[in-house]
Amino acid sequence: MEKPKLVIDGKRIDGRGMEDLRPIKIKAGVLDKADGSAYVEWGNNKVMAAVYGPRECIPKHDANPYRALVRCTYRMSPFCSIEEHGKRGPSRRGTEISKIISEVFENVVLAEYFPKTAIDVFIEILQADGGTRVAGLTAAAVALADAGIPMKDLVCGVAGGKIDGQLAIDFGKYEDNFGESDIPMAVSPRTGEILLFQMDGLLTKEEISRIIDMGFAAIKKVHALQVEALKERYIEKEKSGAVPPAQESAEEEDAEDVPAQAANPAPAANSTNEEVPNETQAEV
Amino acid sequence: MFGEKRFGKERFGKERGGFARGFKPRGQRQPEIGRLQREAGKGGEHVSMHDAHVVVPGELLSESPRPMPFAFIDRGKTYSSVMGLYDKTSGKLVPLEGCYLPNLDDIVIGIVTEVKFSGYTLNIKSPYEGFLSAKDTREEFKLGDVVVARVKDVDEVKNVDLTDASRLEGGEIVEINSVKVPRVIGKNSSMINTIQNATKSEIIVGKNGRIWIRGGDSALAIEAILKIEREAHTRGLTDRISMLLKSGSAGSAKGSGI
Repeated sequence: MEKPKLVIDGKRIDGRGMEDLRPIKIKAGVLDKADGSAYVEWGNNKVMAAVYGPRECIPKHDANPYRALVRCTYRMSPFCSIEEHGKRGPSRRGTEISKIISEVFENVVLAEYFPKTAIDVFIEILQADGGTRVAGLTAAAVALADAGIPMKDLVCGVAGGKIDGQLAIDFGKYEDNFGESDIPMAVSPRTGEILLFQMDGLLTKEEISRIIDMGFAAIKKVHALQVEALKERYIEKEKSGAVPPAQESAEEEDAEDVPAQAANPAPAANSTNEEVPNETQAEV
Repeated sequence: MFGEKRFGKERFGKERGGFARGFKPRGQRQPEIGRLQREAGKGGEHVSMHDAHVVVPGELLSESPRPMPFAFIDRGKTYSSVMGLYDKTSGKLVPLEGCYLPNLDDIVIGIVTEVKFSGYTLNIKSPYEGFLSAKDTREEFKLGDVVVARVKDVDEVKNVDLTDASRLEGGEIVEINSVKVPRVIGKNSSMINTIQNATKSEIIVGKNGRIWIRGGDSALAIEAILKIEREAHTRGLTDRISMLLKSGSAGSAKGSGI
C-alpha cells in the first residue's frame, strides 16, 4: 500500500485535530467468571481485559515468597485486523508487549500483600486499529481495579508521534504505519510517572518533550473515563436498589442509624461538628 | 496419643457434656454450631456511612497521613489503593471488591481437597489453602467434606493453620464476595439474625464468603443473602431485606398451600 496523505488542511485522516482523541468507551465488569474485567472501545480498537487472581502461582517455582507475580498476556485475535496480524499463537511482538505491560503493573500493584500468588491479566485485542497496546493497558488497569486488587494508581496510556511533519496524539492504524515516528506511553496520572515509553522512528529532543506534554493532557481525559466506568458500576447498582429514593431516605433514619450511633457517636454529632460540609449547616 | 487438645472442658464443658467430639450424637450438635455462629457474628462491623462515596485506586482521601486499611500514604497524603466506599467524616474505607485473606480467629468454611496422614488441606476460597492438622481435630474427614473451622495461625508467607473444625452435614452453600460478609452479618449480627428468624434456617457465615444454610426456608435465605451481596454498598438495606423476608415468607406459605 502506498503512503496516504496523513494531514490535509490541518485535519487528520479521520477528520480529527492534532490533539484530539478518538471516541473512547470503557465498561467495567463485563465478564462473569473473571475476578475483574473491562471492555474498551477506542476508536475502532476493541479490547477485552480479564483479571484472575490473586491465585495460586503455577508453576510453583515462579512464585515469589515476598510478593505476587503480575503476569500479563497481550494477544491479538486472529480476526482482529485486515493485514499483518492474523496468525494464531504467540508472536515476537505479543511477547514483547506482554512483558512491558507486566512491568507497568508490577510498578503499581501492591503485590506484597499477596505473597506466593500470581495475578493473571489477559488482554485480548478483538479489533485492532493502531494504539492497541495502550488501549489494552487502559482496559487492564480498569479490570485490575474491578478485581479489587490494591494499586497505587489507575494507569492509562496513549500513543503520540509525528505524521507528515506534525506532532499528534492517539494514532490510528495508518498514522501508525505511515507516520514518521510513534511513541506509545503509559503514565501514572496521580504522580505523573512514566511507566512505559517506547519509540519508533526519529524525533528531536524538543519534539519528544512536546509529545510527552500532549500525552499527559490526553491521559487526563482517558483517566477520567476510567474512573467514570468504575464508579458507574456502583451508581447503576444503587439505582436498581428497588426502593424509590424518597422512601429510602426516610426509612434509613429509623433502622440503620440507631445501631450505628450506639457504637460510634459521630453520625449523631454531625450537625454540630465543625468539619461538616456546608450543606448540613444550611439545613440547620 | 491425643495429647494436648485446644478445646478443653473449660470451653466446651457445659455445651458438650464432656463428650469427645466424634462421639457426639448429631442431634445434640446444635450448641456447637450456635457457638460458631456467635463467634462469626463478632466480625459483623456494620458500616454506617452517611456521605460515603465511591473511590478508585489512587484517589486522594486526605491531605494528611491517615493510616487505614486499604489506603496508602505517599508524600504525606493518603490515597485509596482499592475501589471502595470512603466516608470522610468517620474516615473509614471499605473495599467493594477483593479476595479473602485469612486473619487470625476468622471462622471460615472450607472444603477438604486433600487428605494426608498429617492432616487435611482445605480450600477456603482464598489464594491460600488452609491446613487442618490431624492433631487439631478428632474428627476424620473425607475428600469433599464441608468443614467449618477457625483460623489458628497465619504466618508471613501465608501458611494458614486451622483448628476447631467440625463437619457440616447436609444443607446448602452460598458463595459471596468476602468483602460483603460484614454486611450479611450486620451490626451485632442483626442482619443474619433477621434472616434466621424469618426463615428458621440454621446459617453459618464464614468470613471467607461461604455461607452454609440448612433447613427452614433456605431458598428465601439464599435470595436474601444474594440480595445483600448485590446491594451491599447501598443505604437502607436492612429495611429492604426485612421487606423481602416478609413478602417472601408470605409467598412461600401461599406456595405450600397449593
